[in-house]
Amino acid sequence: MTQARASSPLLMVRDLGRDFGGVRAVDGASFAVYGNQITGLIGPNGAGKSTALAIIAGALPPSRGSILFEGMEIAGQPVHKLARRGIVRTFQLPKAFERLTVLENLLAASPRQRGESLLGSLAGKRWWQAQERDMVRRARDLLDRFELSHHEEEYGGNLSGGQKRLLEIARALMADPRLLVLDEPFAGINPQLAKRIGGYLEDLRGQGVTMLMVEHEMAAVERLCDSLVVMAQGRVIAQGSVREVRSRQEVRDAYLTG
Amino acid sequence: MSTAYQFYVSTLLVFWGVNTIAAWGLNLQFGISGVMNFAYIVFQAAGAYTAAVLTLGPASPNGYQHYVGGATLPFPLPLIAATAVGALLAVPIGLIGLRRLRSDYQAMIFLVIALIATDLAESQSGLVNGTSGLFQIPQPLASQLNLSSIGYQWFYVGLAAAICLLVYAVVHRVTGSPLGRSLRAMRDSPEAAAAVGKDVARLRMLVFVLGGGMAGLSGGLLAEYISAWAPGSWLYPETFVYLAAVIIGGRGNNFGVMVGALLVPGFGEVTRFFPHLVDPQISAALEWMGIGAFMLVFLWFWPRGIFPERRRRFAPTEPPLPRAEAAARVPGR
Repeated sequence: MTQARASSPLLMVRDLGRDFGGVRAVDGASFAVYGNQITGLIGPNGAGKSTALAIIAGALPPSRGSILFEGMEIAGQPVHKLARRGIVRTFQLPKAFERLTVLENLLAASPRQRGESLLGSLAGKRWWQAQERDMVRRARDLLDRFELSHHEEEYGGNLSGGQKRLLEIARALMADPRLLVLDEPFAGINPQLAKRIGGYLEDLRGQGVTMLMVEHEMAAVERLCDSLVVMAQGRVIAQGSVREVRSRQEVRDAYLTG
Repeated sequence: MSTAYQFYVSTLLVFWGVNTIAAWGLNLQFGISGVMNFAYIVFQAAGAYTAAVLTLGPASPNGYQHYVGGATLPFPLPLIAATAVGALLAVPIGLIGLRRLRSDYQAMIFLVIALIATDLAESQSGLVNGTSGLFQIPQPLASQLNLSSIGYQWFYVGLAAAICLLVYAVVHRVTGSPLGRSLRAMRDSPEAAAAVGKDVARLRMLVFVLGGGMAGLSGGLLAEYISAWAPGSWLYPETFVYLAAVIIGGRGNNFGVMVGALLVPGFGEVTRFFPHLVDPQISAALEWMGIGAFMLVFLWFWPRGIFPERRRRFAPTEPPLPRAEAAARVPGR
């Protein structure tokens, strides 16, 4: 961990702020996300975690501050541009493409498809089907890994809540993420599935995927995260390893006084 | 077949062709992409007027028709221009209407645009001849072909069929390609589509322009056939006829939509067969009530339509990777 820390961060958030009317949801937050780690973003309700996450993913423009991703300023860029740069998010309530099959859900996320432009599509199947075959193969590998293979032809909307969450993570991976942003991946799912998802995330980290995760489930956070960022009242009150953060008095105060 | 019957059947076929093209365009916007374009009929009207003024020739100052931009262009050009105008008109209307992500707001904006457009065409008599509309539009190639009136009817059926095939080639390729998949993904969740890199605003504008072009083409084809076009033929409820055709036929399914384009306007034909039973005005009202009721029944019991969107299946990929190897692959690199 200390070695990873020495390298420059993948994502660098500086003095980030976001106002809603007179409310400062995020008020000068600064933190860093390092490569090949799972960074947990935690804090009591209303701390500004979700707002910070929405800004990083491009869903909300910041009122002020800067976000450097791989050294490039990205604050305020739209969601699809950030996704193409490699910041891919999942949602607190999974959003499957309901009337696309499970396999199509993954295929749709594949970047740089030849048949995705108007001219490419009008050129006909022969123009894009070779690439499509490779994509199908890759999507099937991912489905296999997430044990969703037998649902391949099922509509996304027919999956259970837990399966949708798995599908969403698999779909995000299909989009070639360099930073996977997970919004409460363990919320509202049963313990067995939570364990499975935890295992998948650990595997992904082992393969070099960097993750930033907002999560309330402290057991999962402590088990999985290499680094924690603690927010309270729009500010970052602590950042460090799980052990370092736990020992901090202000973190305990923030959680107890909420 | 008697001449009267031939005339009737060929007329129905031309209308079916026109309605199919328009319904395919709306299906691309609403059925495939989830864009609620309640101003759809305006694009058809724009195409119709374009084709009309480009065949009528310049308006004479003392004539009984007043309009802008008259010209006499040879056969396929007015139709091509109608397509282009429908597509180009989609750009400013799309810029106004597609800015907001929420589709309910979009629907309202488009409805208002449809009302404004009718008002504009009716009140500005110098634009497209006001409420009277344009008439005596020359039929394409009628003077060159020198056919009997029935012969010309069947020629127009063939023309409509050929244009349908051409349009089908376009919609089939778009909907069956990765582009179509991205459009359907956007329909199901614009937020999730953006989160995996889809430029939702651009995709919406794309289907807006494509569908606008198809609407324009259908309008041109219709105006050149019936030789007349007035605001009364394109009031905003006409959009709902196409919407009903898409919903009843099966949104997202091009074949189903073609069937819907026969059934829904055909409904009006059925009421025509019992005109003696009721007052003609009541019969027109009955037609609208019938279409509305028809649509509600489908939305309740068969919300996917007669021919639901096809489930896409993919051939097995060979050779499948062994699990261990698949798991060892770094995703996304």
